[in-house]
Amino acid sequence: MHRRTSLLSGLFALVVLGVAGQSWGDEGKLRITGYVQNQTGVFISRDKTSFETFDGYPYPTNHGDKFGKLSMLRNTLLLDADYRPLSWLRFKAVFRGVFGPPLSADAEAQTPNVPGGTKWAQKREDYVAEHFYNRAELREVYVDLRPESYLLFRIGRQLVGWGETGQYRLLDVVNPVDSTWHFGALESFEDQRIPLFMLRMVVDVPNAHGGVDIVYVPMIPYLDRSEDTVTVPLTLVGAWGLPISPRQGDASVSSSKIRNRVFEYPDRKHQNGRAGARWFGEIGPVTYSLIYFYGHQLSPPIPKYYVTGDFRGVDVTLDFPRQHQFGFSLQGVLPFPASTMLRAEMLFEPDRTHPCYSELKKPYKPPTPEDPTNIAQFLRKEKFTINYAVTIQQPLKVKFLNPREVFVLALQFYHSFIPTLKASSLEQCASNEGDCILEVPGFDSTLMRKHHFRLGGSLQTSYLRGMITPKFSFAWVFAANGFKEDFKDGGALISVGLDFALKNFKVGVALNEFLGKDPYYGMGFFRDRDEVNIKVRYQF
Amino acid sequence: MNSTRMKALVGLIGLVLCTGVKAQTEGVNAIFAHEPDTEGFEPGVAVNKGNIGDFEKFLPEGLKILVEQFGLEISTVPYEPVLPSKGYAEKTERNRGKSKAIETKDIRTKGIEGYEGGLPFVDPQTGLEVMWNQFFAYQGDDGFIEFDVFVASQGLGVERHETWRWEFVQKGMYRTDLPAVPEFEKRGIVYASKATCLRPYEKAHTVALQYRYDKPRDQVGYIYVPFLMRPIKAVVGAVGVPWNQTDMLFEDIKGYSLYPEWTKWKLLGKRTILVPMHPKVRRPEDAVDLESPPGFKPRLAFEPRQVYVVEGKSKFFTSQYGKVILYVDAETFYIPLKEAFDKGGKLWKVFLNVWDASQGSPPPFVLALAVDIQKRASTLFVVKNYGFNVGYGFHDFDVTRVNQGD
Repeated sequence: MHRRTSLLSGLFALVVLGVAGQSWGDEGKLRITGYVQNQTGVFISRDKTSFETFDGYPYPTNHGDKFGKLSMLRNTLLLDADYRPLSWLRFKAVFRGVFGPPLSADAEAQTPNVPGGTKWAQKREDYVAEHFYNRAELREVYVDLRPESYLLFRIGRQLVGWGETGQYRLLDVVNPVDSTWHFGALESFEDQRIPLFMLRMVVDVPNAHGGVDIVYVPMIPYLDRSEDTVTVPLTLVGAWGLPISPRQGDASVSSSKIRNRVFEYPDRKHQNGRAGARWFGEIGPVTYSLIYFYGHQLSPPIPKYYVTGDFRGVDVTLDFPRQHQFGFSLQGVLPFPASTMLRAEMLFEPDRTHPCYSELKKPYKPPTPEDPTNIAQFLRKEKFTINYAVTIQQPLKVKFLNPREVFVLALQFYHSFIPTLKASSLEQCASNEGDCILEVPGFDSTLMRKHHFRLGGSLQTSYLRGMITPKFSFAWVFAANGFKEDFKDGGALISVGLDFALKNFKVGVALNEFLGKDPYYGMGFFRDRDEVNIKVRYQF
Repeated sequence: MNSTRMKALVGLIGLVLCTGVKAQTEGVNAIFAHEPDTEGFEPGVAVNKGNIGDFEKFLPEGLKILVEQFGLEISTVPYEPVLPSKGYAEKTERNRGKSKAIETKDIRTKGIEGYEGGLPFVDPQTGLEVMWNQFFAYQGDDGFIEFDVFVASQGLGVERHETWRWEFVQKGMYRTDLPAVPEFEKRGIVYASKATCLRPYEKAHTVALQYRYDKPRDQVGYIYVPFLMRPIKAVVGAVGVPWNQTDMLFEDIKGYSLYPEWTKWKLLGKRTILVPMHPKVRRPEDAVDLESPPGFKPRLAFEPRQVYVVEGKSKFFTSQYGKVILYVDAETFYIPLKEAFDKGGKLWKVFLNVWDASQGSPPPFVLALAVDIQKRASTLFVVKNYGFNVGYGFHDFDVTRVNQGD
């Protein structure tokens, strides 16, 4: 892959140099924009790690010890080239090179083939840096062909963004995500999406006030790496990854005992191809879209096999099952108070696969004298899952705080529910009563409730012609089996930031606070990741 | 064909063409041309701080401030008429007297009846009639410009520099130059605009699509946000909202870019002022000094032109301005000069808009300077490229096109 990346990067540079004599900014010419950026963060949480010992193994009861450690040190060069030699032809390429040193906060990463324990901490840190913090890639490379005014073909490595509600990304089902370097909600979607090679056709249908967007991901070998076709599992990193699980139902599957996690990434063969379509249009004042996509469940990976043998610990295999998804979105202007935008989207997942409580396994291959490996199959359940989200965006004039610019207030509500879920307690799950499915694989602390909610909001304005932009955002996560039934508070995220922009420079400072009572549920997973983050960008 | 015959034929064709053009221009002149009052005006003079008193009669307060405090250098040239296309002139003639302006109290009721194209009021008698003329002024049926925008202040110099491409359908309905586009008419879209940021990176590929309707509905549109990879529906160009975090509001674009019904108008009179309608610049960027923010020392030729002086007070409580004074060119109904006052009645901003009629008809919009004289900050627009009557279809302004970030 590295060789291929270098080759493609070289070609990209040649194309850029070949036409760079023409000035950008004019129709039909090459336009190059981009930025150089440094992003540095420091953890400020005082949480301490604690352990209990059981059966000779140490099991964590809390995660922490990150105070003063770097949460990230990421340097980025991004070049975006856009070339339109003819009105019906466009080339686009985006190069991104990132560089960052290994971070001590990644010592807890649960990397493949590197054992746990302090002895191997440096190896795990190096693994994370090598795989996720240092990369040079042509993220997007595609050609647009427009043989007719109503018809567009886009062929190449690209990103597709479907849906309307932004943060919740319900209908944004095409590209997987890499949020290994920072908490996902704090970074832009564009940076996190993993591009895929696709064939895309967009047809405008003006008579029906709409159009159709058809996407096919052929999963051709060599064009995408298998691991880049799904969302990167957050166990693979430490600074912004999931912590090592505590002792739970079946202590044998706790992270500290896992010798090797084997991810069965989707094979790059046409049988694993993905395809979908989106119809988008307008009815009166309302804009709507309908989508269908058949692909893989991009996240989380679902535990499949549990393997023991003549070695210490266990091996766990995880995969990314196939999945159908369909849904719709709406957006329109409300008649009051004024300039009020309402956006909503709904996603149905008829066959979403959920992992089960860790003790629930069935024999798959017993050991034999020739082959001492004993393989059990983790239970998993397919459940019809319904998700919807509503966003209201309201510009506000608060003259005594900002006489010139408006404040933009956005409130977001998300609800996910599993209508047929037979809710159960941990005690019931120990005897396989109820559905016993988990939100996060490997964490029995995340026993699924019927309803999951997220309530979020943001407020921002700007001063001095956009030079100073204060921002505030929050998200609260909670779940329940019914009204006031088994209510579980999942904690909250609060982010306060200030951006300064002058000439080509932009400096952003943010304080990000994660609140969560349970260190192994919801935002509690990240409660030791409170951080101060500074971003310095030079753009052109 | 020998050369003598050839010359004779060319001469004959030229004669016929000249006669045709003359006749056509005479007809158009009768409706549109407004000879200015040039008493006391002298062409070929450089107006600066030193001799500004000699041109008091021709310089409104805002223009004087630009000369005295922000380095505007004026060279005077004689008046030249600026006339619309034959199609626009014919429609004006054909529909003369049919339009009726209606003073509306609420902001959603249509404020004109009987309008069918061309200039609605050949001899406007009220501020509202002048502003309907401005709303339907001849600017071609569609077109585009590419421009640089510089946001500046006295303390920090140029704070921001961006490049944009702005495509527009000036006449979705009531066309005069190009064939009708039924899709615009069916949807009641009078005006459509698509602005695409070309640089810098963070804004590049941002697309703002906006429709203005035959009825005074909110100007709804879509903004394609590159990092979201999707367009979001939005009310674009609401009253009191700055354009792109600058000192210029959406409503200040080209002097006034809201519905006439959304402001209460009063005609203060008609006078002759200096206007840069033939600015005598080879390239717009040559007319400004980018090293001299916030005024940028524009060097432009101004000519005496008749303007309607119109006072406007917004019907919206969200308006930032106490009132505005618009100097509306009596021939083109463009707004070369605007003065905006704060709620306390103090002059706050001055807007200088420059069209270049020497480039042909319609004259391209080549330069604009918005100056906050209280905070001594400014926004400068310098046009790099333009085109008119290019023949856009509805699909060029459809949300489906914005969906692709195109």
